[in-house]
Amino acid sequence: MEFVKKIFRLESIDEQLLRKASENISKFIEDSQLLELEIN
Amino acid sequence: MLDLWRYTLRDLASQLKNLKLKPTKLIEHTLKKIRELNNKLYMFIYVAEDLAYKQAEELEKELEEGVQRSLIHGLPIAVKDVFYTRDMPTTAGSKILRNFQTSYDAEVVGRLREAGAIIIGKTNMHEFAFGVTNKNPHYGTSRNPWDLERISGGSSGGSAVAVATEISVLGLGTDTAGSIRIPSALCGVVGFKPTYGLLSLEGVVPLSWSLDTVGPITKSVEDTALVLDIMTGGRHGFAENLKEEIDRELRFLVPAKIIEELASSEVEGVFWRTIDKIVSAGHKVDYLEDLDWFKHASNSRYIIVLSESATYHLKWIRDYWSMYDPDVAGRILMGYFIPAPVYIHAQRVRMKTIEKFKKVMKDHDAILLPTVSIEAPRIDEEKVQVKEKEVSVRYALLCMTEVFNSLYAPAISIPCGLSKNNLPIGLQIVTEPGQDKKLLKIASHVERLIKRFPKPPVS
Repeated sequence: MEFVKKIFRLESIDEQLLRKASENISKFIEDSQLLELEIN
Repeated sequence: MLDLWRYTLRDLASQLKNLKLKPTKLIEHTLKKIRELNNKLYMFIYVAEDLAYKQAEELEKELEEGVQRSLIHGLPIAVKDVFYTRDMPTTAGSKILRNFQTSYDAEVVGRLREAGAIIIGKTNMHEFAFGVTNKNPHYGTSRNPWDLERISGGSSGGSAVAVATEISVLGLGTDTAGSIRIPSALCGVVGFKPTYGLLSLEGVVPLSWSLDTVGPITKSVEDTALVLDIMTGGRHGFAENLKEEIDRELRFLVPAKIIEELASSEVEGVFWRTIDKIVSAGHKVDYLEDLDWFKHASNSRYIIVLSESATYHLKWIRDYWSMYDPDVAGRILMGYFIPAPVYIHAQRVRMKTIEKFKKVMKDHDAILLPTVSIEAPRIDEEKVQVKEKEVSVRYALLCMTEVFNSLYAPAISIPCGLSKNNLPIGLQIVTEPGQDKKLLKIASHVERLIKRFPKPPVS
C-alpha cells in the first residue's frame, strides 16, 4: 500500500478508504481465479 | 397537451415537414413537460430553455422554406451529461466538473445538430458513468416513471426517463457495462449498445477507453435504426435493412443455466413467455451449455474498467477525492491496486473469450436473455433477494449485460412485458461484433411478435 500511495501520490486520501480499496480488489482477483487461467 | 406516444419518429418527421406540427409548438410542449416532471423524476441536470426555443424558431423557418435536413429536423433530443456540448456545461454527473464547458460538441452531438436535432438538455447520470443505479448525490436520483419510489437504473438513466416520458424521441447514452440497456429495460424503452467503435467516442468523458460505447435510447427498433443512420452518416443503411421482413427460421441461443441462477422468478417468467412467442412464430431456441467464457469475460471486464478509470481519474482523485460520491471514489481507488500484469492478463483473457464467443455463435443468429435479472429496485434497496441468494443491487443490475462490453458485441434491450408489480422487463438480444445490422433486423422482427408496449403511469 505504501508503494501505491507513493507512486500515485495518494497520501492525502483517507487511509481507511485506501485500505478498503486494496482489500476489495485483492479479494476479487483471488475469488475470480482469473490468474489461474492459462493463456497461450 | 400533445400525446406523442402513438407517433413514431417517421410520423413526427412527416408532421413537421408539412408544418402540421411546428418545432416551436413542440418545444413549448416539451419544455412545459420538463417543468412539470423534472422535480419528480430528476431526469435533467441542465435544461436549455432559451437556446432550444431559439433553435426551434430557426429550424421552423427552414421548414417554411421547404428545407428538412433529416427526419430529426426540429425534434428535441436528450443528451447524457457526459457528451461535450459547445453551449451547455458537461458535468458528467459530478461536482468536480460542475462548471466545465467545452467550445465544441462531441462528434455524435455535432452530427445530430447538423441533422436538425434540438438538444433540449443534458440528462442525469451516475457520477462519471461509474455505476448503474443513477443514485447521484449531487443532482438527485433519477426516478422510474413506472414507480417513483424506484430507480431508473443507469448510468444513462436520465436519457431513458426522457424517452419513456415522451420528452424526447432520442436519448443519447453511453454503455460500459450496460449503462444504456439497463435503464432502458427498467423504464420500458429500447436501448442499443452497438459494436465497440461503431459510434465515435470523440468528445465523451471516458470511463474505460476499451469498453465505452455510445448508443441511442428510443421508443422502437425502427427509431433506433433511423437515428443510427444519422449518427453514422448513413453509410450502413440500418433503417433500409429493416424494410424486408425475415422469412426464415432464426436460430437462437439461450444461456438457460445463467438465467436460472441469476434471474428473479418474476423476470424468468416474463422472459420464458417471450421465448414461447418466438418459438411459436417458427424460430428455434437452443440452450447454451458451455458458460465458463461468460464468467471469464465478466471478470476480465471488471479488472479493465477499474484499471482504465483509475488512469483517467488520477488527475483529480488525489486532490478532490472528497468531492466524489464515496462509492465511485472507492471503485476508482481499487484500480491503483491492480498490478499491470493483472490488467494485461485480463485483456488477454478477454481476447480469448471473444474467440470462444465467435465459435459459440457459429451456427446461431443471436443470443437471447433478460437484460436485467430483477425488476427496478426501490431507491433505498442496497441488496435484493434473488431466489435463495442475497445479492447487491449493482450486481443484479449488470450481471446480464457487462459480459457483452467485454466481447465488443452489439446488444439491444427491447421491452418484453410487465411484472406483477407493473414494472417493465427487458429482453436482450446479442449478436457477434460487427453484426449490428443483423441485430437490428432480428430485434425489429422480435419486437413485432411482442404486443405494443404501454406508456408509463408518470408521463
